[in-house]
Amino acid sequence: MRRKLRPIGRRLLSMHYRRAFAGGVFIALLAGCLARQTISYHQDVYPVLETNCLECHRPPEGEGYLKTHLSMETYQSLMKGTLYGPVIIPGDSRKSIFNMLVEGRADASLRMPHLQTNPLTAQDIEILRLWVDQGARDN
Amino acid sequence: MFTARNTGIAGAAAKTGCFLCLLLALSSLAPARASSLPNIEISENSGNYRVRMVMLIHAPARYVNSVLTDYKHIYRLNPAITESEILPSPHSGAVRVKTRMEGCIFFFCRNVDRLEEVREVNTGHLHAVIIPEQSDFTSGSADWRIQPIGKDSEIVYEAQVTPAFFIPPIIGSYFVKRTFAEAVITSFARLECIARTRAGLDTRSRQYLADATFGTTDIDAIQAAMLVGEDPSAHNQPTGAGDKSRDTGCAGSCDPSGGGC
Repeated sequence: MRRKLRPIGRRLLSMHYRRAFAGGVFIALLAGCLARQTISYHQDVYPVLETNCLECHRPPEGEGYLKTHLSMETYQSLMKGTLYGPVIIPGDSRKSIFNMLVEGRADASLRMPHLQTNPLTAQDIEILRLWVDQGARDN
Repeated sequence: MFTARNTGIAGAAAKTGCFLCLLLALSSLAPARASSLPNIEISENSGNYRVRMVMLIHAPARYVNSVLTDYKHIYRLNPAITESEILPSPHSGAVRVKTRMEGCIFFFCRNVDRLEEVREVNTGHLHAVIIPEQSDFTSGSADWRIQPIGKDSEIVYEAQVTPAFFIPPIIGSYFVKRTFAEAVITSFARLECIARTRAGLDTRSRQYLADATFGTTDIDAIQAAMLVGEDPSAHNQPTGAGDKSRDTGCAGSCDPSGGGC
């Protein structure tokens, strides 16, 4: 009896591991694909900025522009940054002030965007993060 | 300009011959113009690190003070700050500033959390004490003394910290000192730049230092040169478009071609 059960047990165990392994591989591939997805400034990033940020960060009257001179109208103006310097470090979203403020990693009162009751969606934040980590290119 | 008197890093050099060789090698790369350097001393004793820096800031004292007490925007002073938060203090007249900084040695990076209680002792004197329970330090304190000198300001910065995390002996100590030096010099350069911007002054005068500390040039050579008493400007190179900058600082607000800010 035992001898008959053992192979079945082993087979089940083997199937369990195979499924777990296959699942792991699938998840890893999916994560890899997402991470490799190239974020386009014009197709992915600008629409997020236009919807959520430009109202304030547009010269000459935008409130955010008047405070810090950060204009998000163009790629060049975004990369130029504020009166105090650039807010984006290409390739490093952790140290980019731009990402710090939209992710709420600075004081809560500074979280961007200011005027909206709802913060950016997780997907929007992820797009901005990936774009900066991928080099913040004008693509 | 800056005044240079000595560098406490010499003590570390005695610990390791290789480091001494490195410093000697680097010191030959730049001509000596000590007058353009800050005076920085860093020492370590039984895991306790002390930093003292004296620097002439080319900005009026009240603007320097306003930048230093703008705790909400503390991240502007150092790109290594990846998170910051202002918390209420149980003591009147004080504020608690929480920061998370990322420090790297080669490819090994770690986050260092720090919660400080900061109070303005009197005009031009800030005192900060680390709260160990919510920090990666067992103890620590810092003092900023800002003295107006004409239209400029002299800042004396003194700090001591005891990290709660493991630091390998000799090499670890050297890298911690370097990290401290880099953080302090970067913060001073940014402080000056932001204060000058707020005061409506141009920020070209320290462009070489800003570039140096903001990582747009050969930061390692510059930092090492500064620590051994050489002029870092010799290592300064024009900022190339598309460079991966380690900084989001004031330098970028200036026209790289040399125009005004």
